[in-house]
Amino acid sequence: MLDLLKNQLLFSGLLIAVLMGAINLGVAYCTFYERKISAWIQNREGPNRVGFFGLFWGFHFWGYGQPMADGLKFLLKEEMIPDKADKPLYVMAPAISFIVSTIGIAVIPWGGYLDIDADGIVDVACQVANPDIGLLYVLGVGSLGVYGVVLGAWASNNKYSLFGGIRAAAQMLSYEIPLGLAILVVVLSCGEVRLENIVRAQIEGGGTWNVFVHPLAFFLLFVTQLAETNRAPFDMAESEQELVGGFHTEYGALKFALFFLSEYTHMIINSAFLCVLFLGGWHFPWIPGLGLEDTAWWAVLAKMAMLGTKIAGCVFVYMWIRWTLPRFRFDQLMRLAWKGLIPTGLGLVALAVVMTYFGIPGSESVWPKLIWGLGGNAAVLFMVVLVVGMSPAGVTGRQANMPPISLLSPAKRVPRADQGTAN
Amino acid sequence: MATEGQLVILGAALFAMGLVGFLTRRNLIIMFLCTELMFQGVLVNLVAMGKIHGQLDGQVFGVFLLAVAAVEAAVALGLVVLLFRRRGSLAPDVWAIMQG
Amino acid sequence: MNASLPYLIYALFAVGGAGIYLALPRSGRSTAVPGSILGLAAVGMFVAVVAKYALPSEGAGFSYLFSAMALIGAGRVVTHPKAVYCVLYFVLVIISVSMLLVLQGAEFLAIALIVVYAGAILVTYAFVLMLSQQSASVPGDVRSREPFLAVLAGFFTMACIAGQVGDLPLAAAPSSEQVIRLAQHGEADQAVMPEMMVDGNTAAMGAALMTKYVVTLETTGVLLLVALVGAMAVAKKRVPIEESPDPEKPLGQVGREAAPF
Repeated sequence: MLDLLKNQLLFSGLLIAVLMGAINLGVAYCTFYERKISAWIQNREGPNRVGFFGLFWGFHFWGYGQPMADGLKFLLKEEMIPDKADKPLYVMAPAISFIVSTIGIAVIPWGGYLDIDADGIVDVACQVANPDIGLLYVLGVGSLGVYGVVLGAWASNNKYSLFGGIRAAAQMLSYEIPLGLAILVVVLSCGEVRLENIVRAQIEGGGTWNVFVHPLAFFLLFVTQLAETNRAPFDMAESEQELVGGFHTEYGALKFALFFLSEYTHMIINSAFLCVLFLGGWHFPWIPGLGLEDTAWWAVLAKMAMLGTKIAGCVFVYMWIRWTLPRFRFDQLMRLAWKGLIPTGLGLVALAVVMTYFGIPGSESVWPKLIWGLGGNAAVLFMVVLVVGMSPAGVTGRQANMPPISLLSPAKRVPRADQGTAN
Repeated sequence: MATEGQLVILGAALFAMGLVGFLTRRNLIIMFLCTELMFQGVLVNLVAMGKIHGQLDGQVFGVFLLAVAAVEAAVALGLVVLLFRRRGSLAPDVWAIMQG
Repeated sequence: MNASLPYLIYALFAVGGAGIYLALPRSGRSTAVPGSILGLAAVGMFVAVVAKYALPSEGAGFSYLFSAMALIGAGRVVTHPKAVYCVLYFVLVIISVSMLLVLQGAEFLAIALIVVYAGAILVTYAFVLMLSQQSASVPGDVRSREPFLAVLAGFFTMACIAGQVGDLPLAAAPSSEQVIRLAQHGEADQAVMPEMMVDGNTAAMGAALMTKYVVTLETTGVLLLVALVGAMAVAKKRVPIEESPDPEKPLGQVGREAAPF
């Protein structure tokens, strides 16, 4: 039995089964925790009623049965397809969305190498596939994510949906550029595109995770991932106050559930990717058993638990941001990408190139990396703020009709022509 | 005939289908889509030929071809949007008045 | 055996061309069904010919599968009356071609193809299509222009390129691993890695791009910059909505209806 597992193909199959189960369960409980965290932030209770099977009458398990009840409800709703919708695409879009957000798990290194029978020889990698192009694979899969949204929006034959789809397409195209630049910084400083080796490079360099050397790039990647997953404050594609429900206005029952699940799956996969690129993957200093040379089964389990903890932390920050920050306006969002994030990303890539030229990433000591990285990041930030601060802020929409703001002499409130008897 | 031969035939087929589409379709966007199909044919051929000669150059040309395709798409689609805004139609026939 | 091969390929192309000709959208009675059958027959012939003449190689089944997918997708791109479906079938073509490239050991190019084409260019196409054309299909899409001459031109183009297949050297080409080893500078530490993890060609591609082709690379960068500026200049231009030059006809139906010759 153990010998069978030494085959990487069979082991990968087992790993796929385990990961799909774990991620689907995690997604279900993400929806639950989203509601719990929003309740906590808004000083409410949140869902606290649904337990399991009516056991222990009077005891509700703190509402932990809620995801099951939600899933059951989605399952039992009537499947409805709008009459004028483009039926094949309408049905395909949620499936595309879900598949594309799920296949990213294939290349994430969950726990390094595994030595099953403890004979000192590494048997398998705890990873579904370890291609040479792991990082590029994630980029490619992420770039396909827009199709589910856009097709669903178009196939619904609804103007609000179409607006949502158009917004999503423009937003994802724009934010893919800073995403690529942030990833390029990691590639340059690690000299690797294989995800397992990126983790290894972060551990071998004295335990300096990339986030300590390139904090701005970490921030850049996090922000662009928020935008790629359509999470607040970048959820322009589904902004409820403007577009009813955005691209999934016309969807119900399990098809809506698939869109919903794919958003959360995307969140989890993106967080895992962020942890691998910037937060040292499964590594944590000072805890024994999380090193490169620990390959026993319990060490691999500990590594997976470590990565899982980091992912949970990232997902929590996603939710925290959603319930704290208001949504951007669409022109602000585009201006942020093209005038803020892309120049920052270019500056960071230039910094990484200079550091690579002087051989900083390969140095044995920690200090040159930290000094170069943090100093360079501060310089890039300073220059970007200087340049972006000089360019005038865009004036659009209602702002164009407003009087100029002066701090010295407050402008009188001018009644506008269209404010007649409305109030 | 190894698999390279198969790729050469495939590339030729893609190129020719793109040509047919470009000549026959009456929608500016589909016409440009068909030029991209021709690019695909060229790309497949480049990789196959590079493999036959045992060199990476074919793949390197492929990377440059991708960049050129991106450039073409950016400018061409900008022009298509401009044309559409003037006449309100994607049909190329709308722009045929100069031929008398 | 190679003497008969070009004629087999020409026959294959003739069947496929007839299929495309019949499947092209036209006014009047649709002949899409016999066209699709002929097209599928051509794809089947393609796989059969390749399987008969190909040297036995690893992953041949996948290679046939993805070739067939690419051909069917390309056929649908050319013949589908709805523009959005054309874009989607093009995505299918790209994914199949990229899988074929992976089978050829060109992994970097395969992923670059997906990122650049499926992730950026085709999304832009879909975007423009949605901006400009809300209804699924416009009158111009359901009628094609000079299908017979176009198919004839396509057939001769294809025959010119693919007729050379019989002349291709049949000696085994160097495998992709050899190519990589020739071009690679640093040898990765393979000793501790399990057998599944072979090194790919990304490093070799990077080395080639940065040494032999560095001037081309820089020129491409300049080209992209020029395109960026040009696209922005085009997009920012404010144009008037023109009056219809022919007052008898509504805008969008102006132009010549006569045959081009």
